[in-house]
Amino acid sequence: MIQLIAYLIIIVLTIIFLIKMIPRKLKKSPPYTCGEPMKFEKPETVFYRTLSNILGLKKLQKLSTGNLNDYLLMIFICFMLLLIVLVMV
Amino acid sequence: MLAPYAVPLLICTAFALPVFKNEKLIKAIAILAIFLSLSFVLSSSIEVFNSGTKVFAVSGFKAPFGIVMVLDKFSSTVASLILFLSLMIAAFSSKLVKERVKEFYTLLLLGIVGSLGIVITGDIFNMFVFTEIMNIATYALIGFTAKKEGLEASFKYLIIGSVSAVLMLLAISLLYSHVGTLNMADIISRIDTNDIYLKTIFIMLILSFCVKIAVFPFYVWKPDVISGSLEPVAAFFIGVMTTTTVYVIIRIFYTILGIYYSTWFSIIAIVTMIVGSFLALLQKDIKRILAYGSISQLGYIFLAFSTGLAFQGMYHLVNNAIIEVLLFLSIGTMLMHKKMMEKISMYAFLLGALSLIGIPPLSAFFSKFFIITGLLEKNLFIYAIISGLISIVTLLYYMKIYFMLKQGEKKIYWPIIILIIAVLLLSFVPVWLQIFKGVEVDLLARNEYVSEVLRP
Amino acid sequence: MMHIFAISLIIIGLYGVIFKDNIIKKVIGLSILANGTNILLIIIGYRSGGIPPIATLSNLADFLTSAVDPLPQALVLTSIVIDVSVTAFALVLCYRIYKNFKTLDIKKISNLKG
Repeated sequence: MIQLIAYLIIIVLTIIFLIKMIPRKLKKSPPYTCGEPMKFEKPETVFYRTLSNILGLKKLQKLSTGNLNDYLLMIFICFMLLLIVLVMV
Repeated sequence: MLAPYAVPLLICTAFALPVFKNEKLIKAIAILAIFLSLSFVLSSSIEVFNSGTKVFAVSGFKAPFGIVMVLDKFSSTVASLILFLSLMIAAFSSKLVKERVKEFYTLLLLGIVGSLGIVITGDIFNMFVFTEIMNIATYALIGFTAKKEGLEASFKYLIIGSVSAVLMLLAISLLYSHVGTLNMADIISRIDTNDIYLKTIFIMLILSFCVKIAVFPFYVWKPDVISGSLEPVAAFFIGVMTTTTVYVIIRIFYTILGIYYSTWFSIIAIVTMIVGSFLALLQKDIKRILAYGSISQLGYIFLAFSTGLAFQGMYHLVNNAIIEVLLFLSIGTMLMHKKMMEKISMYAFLLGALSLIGIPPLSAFFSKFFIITGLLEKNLFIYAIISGLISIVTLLYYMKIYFMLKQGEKKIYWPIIILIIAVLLLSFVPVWLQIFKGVEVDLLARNEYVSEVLRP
Repeated sequence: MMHIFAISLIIIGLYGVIFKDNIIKKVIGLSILANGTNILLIIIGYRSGGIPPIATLSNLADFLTSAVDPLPQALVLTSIVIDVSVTAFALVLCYRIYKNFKTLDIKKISNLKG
């Protein structure tokens, strides 16, 4: 019984998000700021940016710098740490 | 039993291909070879499902003195899956590859041989050799276009893959020095104690495979490598290579060690799921989002297997492999139409994405539902809630890709249509329930495995 | 005692792969790493006071009591072949990277990030 309720909640939330993701059209005459027309950001980009700011994901994204040495160092250190931790337990 | 003859068939075809000059003939021969091996493996799977585990001794040397190939229900299911997916990939890339056709098909066939060999074999060092064959073929395939991002991705994967292979060899050699044999069934009958030295060796072996499938601390290389390669190669990487490496890890956990529940690996799986899906929200490149998405789905599979839900994990493994290949091949039509996706591929992408998000009555809804239900039955409420919430995040990043795609004109690629039909067929649960329950029975039966392989 | 040599080769190889910036030095480090592992594998099969594992009709008794283990030697043959092909491919890849990027520094060959 509880699994039905849990999945019902998930489906309802999914449908709400689906509805919110339909892009809205821009207004006809954009307002002026500082002498040039102000562009509206699409609602999706605003949503994703606020979400990532809340969750602090930029710090996690800094882990994958693109430099191979950092990748190898992280893999090797985590390998040794996990090996020691999993053997002790 | 015909399945072990698929390995020499594919190797001979791979090395005989450069002889021919006509491009269409090369493509036809390669696809025919993969189709023949698929039929061999399927017929052997039907035989295995009817009458139990089958063992094939290479050159007649019986276990434990020689190399054996073992087909039980788990390995025959995974072998048929990877050959089916590689047939679709080979057929799709016949439209894509215009120059250096010989090299592409030779490398692809060698990659398929490597992955098939890993799944069928029953000997640990043989598994290492086939892993290296698959790795070398993939190093060359990733950098196939020889443009900037391909070369960089290929070099990164070469260094990381070779280091993990060396660690694997180190673990295998230490295991041999301790146990004295290389045959998997023989190892089972010799490791009955809770020795700390053996525990270290097995954890090192499992972690070196975890580097290749990109679970939580080791995932950093995967998005770079996937976004730098061609789409069929990325589909091969995620659909075939990751599936075979997951097969190896499950084999070591369930059959050799007999551990069905592991707290640490379920924590690693949950963190992988969370990190993969949240990092996918920030990316701007389509292939990077799909790569992080595949990391997240792998977290689901790992979570299911490390809490003892073997049947649910197997169902999600099959679903994930087929749908990821469908997603990458439908993105791959963009390469042929200059940044616009072809109409049927758009629907194929939506179908795959909606299925992975968990919309009923598509196939991956059932597998996710079974995983969440199984977790609730085992009283792991936090894991179940987190799995449900991550489905919503999955929705967010797949919709992000959907907004970046533009639609083009209509053309029909039949591998994509066959994959769509496969995804729709996977949602007929009762058929797959029976097959995967049979696989689960086989996975949990260690003693039968040993007695079948070591029968004199 | 001889295990120390093999393990030190492995550590030197790992240092070369992880910390050096030039991609050719990384490939050399990879080669040293692989060779160290092969040497460790052979040392594992050693038996003190051992004779080579060749059995003729006259020395069967000696063969059974004091021959070194021939199985790791077969494994090492396979492993050496694999390492040679990986090193050959890696060097060709370095050549192509040099032609394309005009540099051999790994810090400049990192365009795919995030």
